[in-house]
Amino acid sequence: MSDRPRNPDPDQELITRSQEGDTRAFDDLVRKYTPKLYGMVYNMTSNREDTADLLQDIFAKAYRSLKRFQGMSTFYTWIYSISVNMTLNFLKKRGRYTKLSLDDVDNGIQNDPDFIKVTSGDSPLREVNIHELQKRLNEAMMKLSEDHRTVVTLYDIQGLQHSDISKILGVSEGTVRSRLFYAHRQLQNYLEDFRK
Amino acid sequence: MIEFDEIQKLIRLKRHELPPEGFVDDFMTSFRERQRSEMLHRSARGLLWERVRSYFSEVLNPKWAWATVTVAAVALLGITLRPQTPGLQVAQNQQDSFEVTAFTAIDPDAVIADVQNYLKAKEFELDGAAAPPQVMRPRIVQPRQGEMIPASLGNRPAFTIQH
Repeated sequence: MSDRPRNPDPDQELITRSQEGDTRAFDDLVRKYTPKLYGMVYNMTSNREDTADLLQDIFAKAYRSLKRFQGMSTFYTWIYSISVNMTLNFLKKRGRYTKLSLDDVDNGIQNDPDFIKVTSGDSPLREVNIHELQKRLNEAMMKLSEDHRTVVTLYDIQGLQHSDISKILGVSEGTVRSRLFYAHRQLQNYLEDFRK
Repeated sequence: MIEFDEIQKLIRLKRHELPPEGFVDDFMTSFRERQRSEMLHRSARGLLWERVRSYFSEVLNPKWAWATVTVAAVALLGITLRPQTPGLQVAQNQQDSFEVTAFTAIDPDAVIADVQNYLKAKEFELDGAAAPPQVMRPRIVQPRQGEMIPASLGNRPAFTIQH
């Protein structure tokens, strides 16, 4: 997090304008990052309402802290760090068990090659309803520790690189890989019946 | 990671879980509302804080820093090392104080009027004439039963006490 980014931050102009008090520029940043951060928070909390509330708090905090942002990292890693920290704090307060409140699955899943693959032929998933699959996946995710869920969310679902995740979490890449390994192993156990 | 390839493919299907349509627009609207109300809420405090900061930034100008620090240190030392004030000692000692049947609640207007009267009386005195009685009349007479006040306060011209 302390390394200045090698490439210019693509958000630099919006950041500078926001720091000068241009709220429209900050709106643009919010609009740009809301879908990404929503996915991160949602997959960590498995609750839509909590996600929306938390996202408000995250952007409000980012806005208040923006004047102190000095470009030592990209805005992308900075806002992700804020989001992850606030989400983890929220989860500690909320406690382990909560009612899932899941988003709708878009129709695109029907055409996803991975979905077609796992639900075709001899796959044990071929009879599984999409919503049942969604519920099982979310339950399995919620069984992971928060640290493990974070790396799975960032790497597998959001598609971030190990190096970015290590910057966001402030841990080494080795730690990220190790957490991923143990998280995948646990998920494999939780979803064993889908693999037989 | 190859051994977990299947499980990763399953987990990646979660990318298809999306917020309801129009979520981003609704979110932006409520975020702007929250931002505006926070800005309004903070503006008064922010303004005060900014004034305090700018005041101290002038006071703590490097040119004056040593002088400011010295004055502050002397003041602090003075407060710390100062013995109990004589006034308080007197007040605690029954012999040096007197009980009044009445005590004054100081009205600022009365104080100003008394000072003006006092100055007028001085003018008469300088002219070698006697001041008319209304000029010398004390104004502050709002006594409270049983109050103890230091004797040293009794002879101030502007704060005359009536028994």
